[in-house]
Amino acid sequence: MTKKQKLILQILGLFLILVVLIRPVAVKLNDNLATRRKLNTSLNQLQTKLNILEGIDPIMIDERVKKMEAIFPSTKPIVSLMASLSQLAAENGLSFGGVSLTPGSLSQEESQGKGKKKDASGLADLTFGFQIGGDLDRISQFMQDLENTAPLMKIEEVGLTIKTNPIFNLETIVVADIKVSAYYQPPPKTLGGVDKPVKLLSKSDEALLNQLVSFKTFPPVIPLTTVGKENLFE
Amino acid sequence: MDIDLATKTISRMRQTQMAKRLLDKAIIWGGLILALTLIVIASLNLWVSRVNKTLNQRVEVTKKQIVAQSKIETQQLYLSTKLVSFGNLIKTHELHQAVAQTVFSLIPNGTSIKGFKVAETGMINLSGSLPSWQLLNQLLTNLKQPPPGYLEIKGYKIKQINFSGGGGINFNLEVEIKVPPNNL
Repeated sequence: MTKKQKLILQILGLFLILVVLIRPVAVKLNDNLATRRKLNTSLNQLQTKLNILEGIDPIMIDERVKKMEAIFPSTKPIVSLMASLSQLAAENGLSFGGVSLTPGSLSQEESQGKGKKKDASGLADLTFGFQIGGDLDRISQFMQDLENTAPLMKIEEVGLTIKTNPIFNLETIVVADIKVSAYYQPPPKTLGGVDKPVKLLSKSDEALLNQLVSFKTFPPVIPLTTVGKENLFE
Repeated sequence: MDIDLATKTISRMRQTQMAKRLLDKAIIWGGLILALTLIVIASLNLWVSRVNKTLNQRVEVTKKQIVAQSKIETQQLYLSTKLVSFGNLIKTHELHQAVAQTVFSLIPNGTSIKGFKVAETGMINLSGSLPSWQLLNQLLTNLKQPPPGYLEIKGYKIKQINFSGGGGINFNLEVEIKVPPNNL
């Protein structure tokens, strides 16, 4: 072996060491550094999320959710709607009746058009028709109160009929046929990933939440009379 | 007289020897530097791995803490999702109420209304019957000068006015209520 060949072999040996030993270690170091960066970012995001969650008052959010559920429910608000309307009518000294129920325009669109896309947020409505009877001023007051009564209702149609009391001919009763739409929206099905950031409420959201307080809620009517046959052997 | 026959050869040999020694040194130093580099990189790698392990543990602990707060997170998500729809609904809701109450404020006591649809555009088709001319006059006066505190009346069109069989007056009006522009 000549000196030149020896030299070449030595250089080659060094180069091999460089490739075989150092390169994989360097690649792994690079990967580990990238993982470290990712973990750091992830930890920061999680810490921020945890701090936000720990900063939320559990009692306050619980109350807000309950209020929201009463005003803008997650399921069809049939019972609460009937209870509110009948009690509001009674409060204003009006007769209440002639109840009719329809699925509502949003729900109809969903069921009619198979090709139509369902509302992404799941928002649906329920149309409710009823009659109230009394004098015009009280009916007007009823309509004003309806604005701030839970669940959230929107007056769709109003009709007025004048009826004369058959006993006292001079007294006239105004019967209003009112159609209202009540809205409901199911809650989100999943929370999403743990690392998904918490959506903070904006100032306008806070203002909306403050608006919830102004809504009047009536307790759902529970029948007090016993239903079914009495026990004859007692 | 000096005889110097191998000066050139010796000088060349010396240079070759020097070059060889330099190269040997370079190879030894190169090897040492490479070994040192390898040690440094491997140590750094070990240290970063250990840091990663600690970070991973901290991430897992934080995740567990977040999961423990899932009730609050669900409630927060519920509120933020519902508030989007609620915000949109409340806008039209207020307008609907304002339109309905404005129309109601125009109607004199004793008027029968066939049923008007509350439209957010402010275009209301009002038809019904009145028992006397005085009440019709009052209705038209209200349309010209609506009571304060309600929405303004942009205009109205009398489509039909006629007598009904029982002495009453049937009317069909098209009323345009001025709706705030940001609500449309």
